[in-house]
Formats: sequence, C-alpha cells, structure tokens
Amino acid sequence: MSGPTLRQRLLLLTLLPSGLISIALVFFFTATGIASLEDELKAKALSTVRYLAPISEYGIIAGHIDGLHSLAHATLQESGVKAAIIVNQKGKAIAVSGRVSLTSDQLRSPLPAPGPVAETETWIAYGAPVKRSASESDVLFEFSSPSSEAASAEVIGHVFVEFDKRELGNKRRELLEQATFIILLGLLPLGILAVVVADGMSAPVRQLAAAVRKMSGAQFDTRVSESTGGEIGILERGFNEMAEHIEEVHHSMQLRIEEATAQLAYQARHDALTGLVNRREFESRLEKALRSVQAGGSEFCVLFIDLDRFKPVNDACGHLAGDELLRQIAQLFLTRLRDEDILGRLGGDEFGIILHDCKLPNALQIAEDVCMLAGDYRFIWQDKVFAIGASIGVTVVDRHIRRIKDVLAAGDQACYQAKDSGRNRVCAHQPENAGNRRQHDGQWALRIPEALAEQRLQVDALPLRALQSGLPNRHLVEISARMNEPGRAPILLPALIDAAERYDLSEAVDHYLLATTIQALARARDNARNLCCLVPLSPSTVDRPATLKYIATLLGRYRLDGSGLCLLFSEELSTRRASQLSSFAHEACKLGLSIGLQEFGGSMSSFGQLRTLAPAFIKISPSLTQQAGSNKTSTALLRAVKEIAADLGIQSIAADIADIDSLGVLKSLGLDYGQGHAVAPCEPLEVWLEGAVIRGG
Amino acid sequence: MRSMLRAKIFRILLFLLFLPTAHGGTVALVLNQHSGPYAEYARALGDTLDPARFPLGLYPSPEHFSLPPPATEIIVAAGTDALRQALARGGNTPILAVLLPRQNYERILAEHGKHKARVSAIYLDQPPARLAAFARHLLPQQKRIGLLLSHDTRPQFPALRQALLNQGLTPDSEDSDGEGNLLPALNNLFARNNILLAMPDATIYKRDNIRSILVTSYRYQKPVIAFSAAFVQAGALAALYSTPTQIARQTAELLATLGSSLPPPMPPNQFAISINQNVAESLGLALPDEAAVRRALTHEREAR
Repeated sequence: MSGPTLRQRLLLLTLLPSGLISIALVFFFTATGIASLEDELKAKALSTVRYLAPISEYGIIAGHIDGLHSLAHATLQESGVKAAIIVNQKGKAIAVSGRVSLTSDQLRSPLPAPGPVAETETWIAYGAPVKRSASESDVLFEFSSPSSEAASAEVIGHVFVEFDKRELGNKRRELLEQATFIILLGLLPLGILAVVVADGMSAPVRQLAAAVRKMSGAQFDTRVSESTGGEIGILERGFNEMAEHIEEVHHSMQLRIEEATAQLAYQARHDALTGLVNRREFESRLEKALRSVQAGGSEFCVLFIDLDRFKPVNDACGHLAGDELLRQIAQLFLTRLRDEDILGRLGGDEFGIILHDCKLPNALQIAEDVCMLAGDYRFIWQDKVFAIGASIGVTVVDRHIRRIKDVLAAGDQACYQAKDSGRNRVCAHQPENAGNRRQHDGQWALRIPEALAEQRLQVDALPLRALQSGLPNRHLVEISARMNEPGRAPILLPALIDAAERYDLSEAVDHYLLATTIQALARARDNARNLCCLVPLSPSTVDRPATLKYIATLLGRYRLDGSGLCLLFSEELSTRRASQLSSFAHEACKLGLSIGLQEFGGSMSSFGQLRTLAPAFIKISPSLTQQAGSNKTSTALLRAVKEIAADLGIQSIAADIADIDSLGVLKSLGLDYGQGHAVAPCEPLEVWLEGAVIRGG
Repeated sequence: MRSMLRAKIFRILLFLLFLPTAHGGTVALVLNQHSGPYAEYARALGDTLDPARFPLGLYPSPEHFSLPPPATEIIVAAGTDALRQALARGGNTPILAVLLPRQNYERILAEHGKHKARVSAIYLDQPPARLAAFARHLLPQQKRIGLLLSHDTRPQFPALRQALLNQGLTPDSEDSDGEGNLLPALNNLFARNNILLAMPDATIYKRDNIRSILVTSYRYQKPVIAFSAAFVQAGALAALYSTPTQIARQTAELLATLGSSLPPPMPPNQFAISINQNVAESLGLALPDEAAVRRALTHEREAR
C-alpha cells in the first residue's frame, strides 16, 4: 500500500495543527516578551537618565564632584547599569563610574532631550542634558517681561548611563529556553495522547485490514476480536459473520470437489459398464506387478480373454443386450477369482486377469475353469438364448520381461492363437517365445545398418509396361529391394520397411534407395534415356522434411530435375495421416517430384485424397486386379477407379500380374501400366538398367 | 474671577466717563498687562482713589495707550513697558511710574534721553535703612552681609552700605557682571559672609540664576534675604517687599497731595514681610515670626 497509513494520517491530523499553533503561540509570546524586555530596558534607561539629570544639576552647578561621584556610583548599583558618566557643559567628564564604552566625542556631543546615544550588541547608552532649572521669579523685577518667558533653559552638562545588554541577552535566552521547554512539555503529553488515540482508532482498522489480507490469502479461519464499539464494531462483527459464511461455503465446496475428484479418479480407472478396472488401470497395475517381479517378487501370470460369439448378441439384440451380457460375464468371472487377482475390461469384449503369485500350471487351470464357465454360460435376452465362449491367452511374467508392451503383445498373440485354433480354448504363450522374439527383434537394429554398410541391400527393378498406346515413351520402373543375409532367406522390402520403422532405421533405408535411384536416373540421363522411377518410401518419411532436403541435394549434385522421380506411399497412409502426407506432397512438388499411391482401392476410402494429393500414379491393389474379369464387382470397381483416375489425369498401374490372360483383361479395362511376372521379371536395378534401358534403347 | 473683575472695571470706567469732572483732571492708568500684580494694583487704585476727584482712565496694556485724552492730568504707568509707552506717547503729561525697580526706571529714562514730561516714580526697592534693619532683626547674630553687584546696582550700593553699617552690620560685596563669574562670585561671597542680601537686579537675580544661587547658598548652609515673595517661595529665607496694593495706596495718597509739581522718585512707604520657615529649619535657624519683625521695623521707623 502506498501513501501514509491511517495511523500516520491520524497522528498528522492531531499533532500538526496543535503543534503548529502551540509553537506559533509560544513564539509569539516569547517574541513579545523579548520585545517588552527590550522596551523595559530602554524605558528604564530613559527614566534613569531623566532622574539622574536633574539631581546632577546641583552637583554640576555647585561643582560638588564628590556628590556627583557618589551619584554615579549609586546609579551603577542599579541592575544592568554598566557605567554612569556625568559631564559638564564643556563635555568634560567630571564623574565616572564603571567601565565606559562611549567615546569622548559622543560625550561631548550636545543632546536636546533625554534619549538613546549609542547602541551596540552588548550595551546601550542613554544620555540626558542637565538643564539649569528655572524658578518662579517676580515679574515686577524683570526688565522686559515677554522676552524672558521664551528663553529656554540653559544646558549645564550631560549625564550618560550605559546599560549592559548581556543581561538582556541572558534573559532572552532564558525566555527562549523556557518557551522551548513549555513547547516540549505541552507537546509531549499531546504526542502521547495523539499516539494513544491514533493507535486506539487505527488498531481495529489495521486488525481488520490484516484479517482481510489473510482472508484473501485463503486463510478462511481468520477472525477478528470484537472489542471495539461503534461503526468499527459493526465492521468487525460483519467481518466475522462473513468469514464464517465464507469458511462454511469453502468447506462444503472443498468436500464436493474432493468427492468429484475421487469420482473422476475412479471413473478414470474403472469401466463404467462393468465396474471393473479399465485398460489404463489394468496396464498400470500390470506395470506395478512387473516392477515387483523385477525387484525380486515371485512371477505371476496374465490371462487375456476374448469372448467368442459376442458380436451376434450385439447384432441380434442391440447394444443394451451386449452391455448386459458383459456385466453378467464380468460377475461370472469374478466368482472364480481370488480377492488379490485383478479382472479388468480391456475394451469391447476383451478382458484381462492378473493372477498374482501364480505359476503357469495354476494359471492354466484357472484359465480352463474360466473358459469352461464361459462355455457353459447361457445368456438369455427376451426370448432368445445365446451361447458364448472365451478364447484365453495365458502368459507368464517373470523377471526376464522388461516391458509390459511385451506382456501385452505376448498375451494378444496367445489369445489370437487360441481364437485361430478354434475358439473357446486356452493357449499359453511360452516365455521362451517372448524371449526369442525379443532376441530376434534386437538383432534388427544391427542387421539393417550392417546390410546397408556391406551393400547387402539388393535394389531391384520391377519394370512397368505401358498397356495402352499414346503414353509417353519412357522407361517406367518401380524400385524394390531385398536384404540378403548369409544363411537366411532374403527379406523383402515391405518386411524391411516395417522393421526399419520400428527401430528408427527407415531413414537410412529410404536414403539408400533414393541414392541408388538417383544414380540410376543420372546414368540414364547420361545415356540420353528417359527413365522414370517409382520409389516406395516408409510411412514415417512424411514426418521428415530432411528427406526432401536430401533428395534436393542429390538432384543438385547430379544436376537432375525431379521429373524422373516418383515417391510411392501406401493408400492407407493417405487416409491415416492425410494432412501430413498432403503437406509433404506439396513440398515434393516444389522440387519437381511426383507422388504415387500404392495398394489403391484396398479400402475404397481414399478417393477424396486424390484431389488434394494430385498423385501422378496410383498402383491398384492386387486384391482388385487379381479378380478382374472373374468378379463382376471387382471389374466394376476397377473400371470406376480407372475412370476417376483418368478424369484427374492420374495414371493407373496394375501390379503383380501373374499371367497373360489377366494382362489382357486389365489392358481391356483401360489400365495404363502393368507390372508383374507376366510383364517382366524382377531383376537387379543395375542389370535391368544396363540391359533393358541403355543397351535396349 | 478675572472676567468679573474686568466687568467691574469697565462699569467704573463708564461711570467715570459720564461724570462731570470737578477739576477736569483725569488719571490715565497704563498697565504692563492686565493680570497678576498689575491687575491687583489697578483694582486697589480704583478702590482707593476718590472717583469724583480723579476719574480713572484704564489702559489694560501699553498697546491700548496711544494719546492721552486732553483732560488727562497725570499718567500712571504700572510696569516697565507701560512707562516706556507713556514716555513715548504721553506728550508733556506728567508721568508717575509704579511697580518697577529703581534700576529699571533709571535705565528707561536713560534710554529715552531727553523728555518733555515731568516724570517721577514709586520704586519697588525698599529704602536702605529699612533693608538694613530687616536684616539685623531677622538674624541678629549674623553680622557679615554679602551683596552681589552689577553695574546697574553698583551706584546704589554706597547708600545701602552706609545703612548696613549704621545697623552695626558688616557689608561685603562681589561683582558679578557677566554670566560666567556668577558662581565664582557667589562662592567667594559665601566663603566670607553669613548672609546674601539680594538687591533687585535684573542682570543677576533672573529666573535662570535663582536656582543656582539658592543651591549654592544651601551648599554653604547660608541664607538668602530676598526682595520678593516669589523669591521666598523659590527658597530664599525671607523677603522684605511692598505689595501692589500697598503701592496703590501710596499712589492714591500721592495723587491726593499732588500740587503743580511732581515729587522726586521715592521708595515705597509700606511694606510686607515673608519668611520661609522650611528653609529656616533646614538651615537650623531660629527666626522671629513675621509679625514680630514687622513690629520691630515699624517701631524703629517711628522712633526715628
């Protein structure tokens, strides 16, 4: 808070005027007193010389020097008199007493009347003429009457008295000291009174202010003492009532918030339908259990349950029935579990059970029991009776397992295994399997860079043939690759890309492919061949602008434009990550590159993307092309795709054409390019480039 | 008081104006001023004179008097200035000067030089014999009498000296002609004598000097015998003097016996005595009372 406080204001208000008035009064009276002291001294001086002058007359007239000396001496006895001098008519001092300060000139100068002669800081001198006093005479004896009356009295000498002003100064100082003392004496009780009053008035207000500050700082139990009367007292009582009210409201609000928070927390962890823990909570408990195992706890098992024949219930009787079934089955499972076991609904008709401190045989036994319960259970809804079952995957969690992801994956795998094996059965995913897989997985991270470094990544060419006339005369080829490893089957590109994605190695693979392709393009250009390559890239490329820079650098190095390069992405990516792909395509277009979509038509959901992406090619899903001719729907779809593509100026490619008949059908359907064994064999890019392009013309 | 007096005088004047004159002789009274002793004198003269014989013409101040009426027998000039005016404007009418010291009278006549009229005076100065007797009766033990003389009074001193000697007293004098030598003269005089006898002298006993003279006399613890009641009041021991009333009475007598010629100037024949008992006490003097002194003086005159 800026500015003076209430207390300071009150003090100022009470002390300042009274202080000023008292100081002014005291100084006024002191000044008056000092002035009157001076006046008094002057009056005394004047009266002294007035008295002294006539009584000196006789002494001067009679030349009675002794008498004059005693007069002067007597005058000196008067308080404040410093010196007394009597001079005769000629200005000669005839009687002196005390220390004389007046000069002889001053003593000689005539005075018309009694009055001050000289004044300095320390003394003041008054003088008076001594006049010859006239007496009544008989007019009869005067020679000329009128003139004699006007004659003024003759001056026969002077008296001078010097007064010491130091005494006056002392008195003045005394007076000032007294005045100051009086001021202090007056102001002290006044000050104390003012402080007491100001404190008395400001203390309750300060207390209130402090309480308000505390209150706003969320100390709701703040109260003030109700000791004051009057308006302040009303304020205090009002504050306390208000504070009580606020505290109550705050308290109840807090309770409600806590309740709501607890409810929210519960809801966040539990499935609203069955009351079981939800997937998140299940995973977190699994994580906790996993950590305790890693910390040396005993191993435990996890059951992954997928209900069989649940969908028909939903389809036939609606979601309400499905929900009811899930509720009942959850209750059913719970009956078979110990208290410490955790049953969670992982989503849809999937359940999970954590069996703490449980070995595999026991777990298998429990799983069998649960499976049987599910198999025996009949769900009755209205007049319908449904039989369901459960496919259960069992996985053991021991301390070799590092991540719950592995547990979940293993569980899923076991569950699918059970489902695939004919449903309503139990399948265990062996711990060894999980270990192997992990080991296997771990090698990818080494194998791919090794293969790239040792150039064991074989880049292949899948040549495309134009099925229609009027297409540009150029060599069109799709780039593929396989990783050759000693003692293993070659790994094809889709599997390689999948693995590379998982181990963040896709960039290296992409760059390898792009570098090889651009070298090939340069070589074709050097031999005056028109070559166009379709390069499949990993999905994560759309998140890497660096790849485009890399392409730009390479193109710049070989002084190529981008027209011979077409980047291939799966159609699935165009729907899943449409905006990223779209912006990537836009950037690629700036480099002169073109975009192609493969597996097109697999989901039929990506027609919308054609307009925004504006690809140069679409490579149609083999699921469509393989059935072309034999399946009417497929044929119609193919035709539709072709027509839409043609409308948008997109060239269509039929992939994996295995036989000549199919080729004919596709050609007749109007597809632009064909690719597969029926068109040309897959061969290494180097070989194809040398043979088919450069030498073949 | 004064206005009543003035009204009375005017009534008298009116009365006199319309009265048929017996001898045809009017008295013109010229006053120095119409107040104080002069007024007293005028009143006393008016009361004393027989109005049938002497109708009185009053001129309250010298300025009022310019030319005497034709029937004026005599001009009475009361005071120095009145005398001056009467001499200047009176023509050849005889003039009687009153209420002035001899010293002044002689000085005015000397100033005026040759004059046509016959002039005489009744002085204020007491005759030397009376003065000497007064001094002896007042202070019989004190023989040494001192006097201050100026050139105005010096001519009168031999007569006074003789009178004093006749009384068995020892006169002593000191000259004081200038302003400066008054105090030295006084000091000398008091050192040698016991009494200061003051003679009417305008140059010495003027109002500025009286205090100094008295103060000096106190310092010497010696008394002053003065010539007027005012002097006594100022601090002199005693005075022998004549009042305006007494002079008026003497004037009336003189006019009544007046023949064709004026008598020579004369001293007053009646007198008064004033004694300041306080001064006497201060000086430690045992004095006879005024009546006793007066009786002694009267007795002495008759005896002579």
